[in-house]
Amino acid sequence: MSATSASSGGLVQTFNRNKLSWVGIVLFMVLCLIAIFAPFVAPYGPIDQSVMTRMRPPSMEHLFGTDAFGRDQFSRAVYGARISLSVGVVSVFLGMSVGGLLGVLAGYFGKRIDTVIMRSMDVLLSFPTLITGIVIVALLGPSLTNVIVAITVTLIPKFARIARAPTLAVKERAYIEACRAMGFSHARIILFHIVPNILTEILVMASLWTANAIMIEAGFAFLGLGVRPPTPTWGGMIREGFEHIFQAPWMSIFPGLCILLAVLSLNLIGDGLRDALDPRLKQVRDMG
Amino acid sequence: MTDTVLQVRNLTTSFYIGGEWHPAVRGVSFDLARDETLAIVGESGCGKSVTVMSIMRLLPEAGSRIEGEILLDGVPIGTDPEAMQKLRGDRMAMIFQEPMTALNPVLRVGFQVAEPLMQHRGLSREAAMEEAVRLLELVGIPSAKSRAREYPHQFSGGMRQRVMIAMALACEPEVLFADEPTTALDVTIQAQVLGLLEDLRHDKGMGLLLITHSMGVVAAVADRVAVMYAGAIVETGPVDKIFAGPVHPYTEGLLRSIPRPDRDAQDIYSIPGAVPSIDKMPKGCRFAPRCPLKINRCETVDPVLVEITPGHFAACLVRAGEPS
Amino acid sequence: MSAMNDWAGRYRAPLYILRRLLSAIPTLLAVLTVIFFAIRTLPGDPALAILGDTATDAAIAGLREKLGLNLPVWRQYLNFLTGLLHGDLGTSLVYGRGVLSELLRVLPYTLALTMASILIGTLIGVPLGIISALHRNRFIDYVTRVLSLLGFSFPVFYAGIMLILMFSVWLPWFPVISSTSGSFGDAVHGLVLPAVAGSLGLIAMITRASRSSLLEVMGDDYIRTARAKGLPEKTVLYRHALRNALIPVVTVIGLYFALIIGNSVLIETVFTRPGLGSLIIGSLDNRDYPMVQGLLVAYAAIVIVVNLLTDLTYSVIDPRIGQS
Repeated sequence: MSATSASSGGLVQTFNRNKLSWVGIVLFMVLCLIAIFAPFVAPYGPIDQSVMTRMRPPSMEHLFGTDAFGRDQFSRAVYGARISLSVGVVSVFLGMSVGGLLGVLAGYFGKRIDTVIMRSMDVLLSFPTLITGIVIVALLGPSLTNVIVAITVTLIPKFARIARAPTLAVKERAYIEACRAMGFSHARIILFHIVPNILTEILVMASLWTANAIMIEAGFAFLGLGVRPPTPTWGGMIREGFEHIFQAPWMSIFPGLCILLAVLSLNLIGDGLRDALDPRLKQVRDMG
Repeated sequence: MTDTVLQVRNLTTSFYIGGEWHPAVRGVSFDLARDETLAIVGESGCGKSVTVMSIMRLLPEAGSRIEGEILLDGVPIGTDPEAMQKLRGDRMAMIFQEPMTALNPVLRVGFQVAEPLMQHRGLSREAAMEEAVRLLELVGIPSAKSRAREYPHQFSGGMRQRVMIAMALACEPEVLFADEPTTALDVTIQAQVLGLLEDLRHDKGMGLLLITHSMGVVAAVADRVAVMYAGAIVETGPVDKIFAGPVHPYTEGLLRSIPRPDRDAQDIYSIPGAVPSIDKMPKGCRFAPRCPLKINRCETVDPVLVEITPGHFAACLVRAGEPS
Repeated sequence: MSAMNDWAGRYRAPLYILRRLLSAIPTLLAVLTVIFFAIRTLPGDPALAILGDTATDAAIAGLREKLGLNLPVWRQYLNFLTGLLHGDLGTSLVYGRGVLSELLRVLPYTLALTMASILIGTLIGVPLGIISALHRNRFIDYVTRVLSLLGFSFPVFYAGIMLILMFSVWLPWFPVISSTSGSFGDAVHGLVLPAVAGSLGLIAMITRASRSSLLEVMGDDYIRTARAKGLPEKTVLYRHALRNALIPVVTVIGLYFALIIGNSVLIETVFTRPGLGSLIIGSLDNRDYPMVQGLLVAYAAIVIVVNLLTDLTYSVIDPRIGQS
């Protein structure tokens, strides 16, 4: 156990050395705070319409300008962070739990269980991610819950694959043999001995796929398959803005920048984690 | 000696580690004659490979510094990378330790052997390939013509090392460096490959510089030997003299550690301690911390090579004394 | 024994292809089953959808009969599979034409978009990756890495809109609506912006993959061998390093093919282009279930075929693959 904590200390150090990943963390924290405290950050209500201020370009009163209903785009973007971030975090958490568990089970038990689980995952992976998502949302109807369900379903096979490979490696180690010899239950071995050993690798992918999930959610909203208007989402704002691209380009530019920032921050974090993890991964491979 | 093909004078190679230059090879000098095998022997980390890599200029440029003079056929070879590139594989060639990874996995074996011929002799691809088949036959690869079209993974370790030899011999070099050419091979294959190297050296009249950690290999093939420790030559001379009367305690230790059939495996002697790392070199004689003969003076004075008998030099304050 | 080897050697590639093809069949069958039952759970009655709310009950019953909707599910399933074998994917409820012919009509647009994106991604990504690797940890490397991170983080539809804004609205160089009629030149002209939008993420991925893979390969033993042969650095890079370095890049392209095909939904919507993506959006809106079903079959077929092609490309570049 002490070996694990020593190497995770090295992990933290390597991560610390990477300044860009700290930029990512700070950026992501700020976005989360903005989302949580949206009512205090937003100067106007997200759905407050105003006939007098339709399609105004960015100014001091309206940082991101206003839309065709005179709604303050900055306030809408602030509230939009709530949808994007929660969809990203929740669906990745669900996908990681379900997919990760399936992958661990497949790797741990092997044989027929492995075949059944991984073949099913192959089936899901036989469609482009976005297409699977779109069909599921269309099947269930557009709503926040269904968007999360759709993204979760597309993430499950990916997490399963990521979790299975290291499980196979960990399973062969001597102490797992020892656990079995001591008569530990499968559940105990998996939860307390396998999962902690593969968690870092899964968390790296989780941060990268949260970025991905945010992009997919925005894509759904852009296609009109997301949360119903007038609830603001970044993708939905771009959809509305795109109709007025000639007269009011700011309507598309700013929400897009928000998506870009959120995705970028998560990718920075994921990169930092991966770099920190990589030497350790190599070490594990060498030992095996 | 008029027949000297390679002269190395005061070769010093340093690496930049932790903000300082540390020498990995210190003032190494030796001569190599045509049709002669010189073995450089020592434990790993003694600077044997770095010596050869420095002569070939194969070390990464960043973080390394090479000083000293190297003469090929009496002519100093420059430091110009392009001139060196033209020498490599043509007049000086090299064989590496790991035949498993030293060949490019995605190129056909014949082509890899033919490459130096196209590069240095300007042969057409067809002509070079024909020559490559002849070379593969020369190093004893059966059905060379069809095997030339195969990839390295289809060859066994010993066969791959033969391919490496064929590749190195392609342009009939004057000097051949072989860096632990048999270490990665099975014992029976080792003898075959060593025998092949010896025969070819003699046929072509090459100078062969053999790097090894094994005194057994030295006894089998070398004419002369240079024992290296911590970046410097500590004893050098003809093989028979050194085996009959080693002077330096390190050489003694190496000789005692040769496995012998009349003793049990667990009785094999090993020199206590380890080679000091490059940034933690002791002052004075670098072997002193491991030396059974150590006197106080060894900890402050760095011994130099002293001629014991003609052609036999050793650097040890206790055994060889200091130059007058 | 050697005859066996010969035989295995000659038929290695075809055998490997056959094995991969056979292993794709169960997955394909499972995929078709999932599609069939997923479509059956979609809400709404197709007959009602075609005829509209004003239709009489008798008319709806008649159409249900005609569409085979009254048959037991397993019969419908069998009909679906046998239809597929005959190349019959059913009839579109909206277009009134065969699903297959509609699919084949729009498929070239999506394939052109995907291929163009991959072409741009490879042509820019690979050289950028090489430059970045060769100037590791210098200014140009940092710039490339930051840019690829940005490219990786750009939502594809946002990239498309920004391109329209810049190169259609502010600088009127390209059409807002990606024209697919007219001359070949017009089609290419209309394809530029959509393809660039689709390639951003791929450029980033390929740049990263080729950078890290080249850095890894340049440290391999056979690169040292190539240098020891006296090959010029350019030949070492292009002949020996690059081919090995590109093996993982092929995987990246293969993996991202599916992503780009999926992203074409967004690109085609932004640029008002025909294609699989805009067809599936329209068909879902219209509840044109046979069309959706056919599209899903097409997507799955494309992904499976691309995975197969990636494996085959692998076995062409890397002679070690397919040997067991």
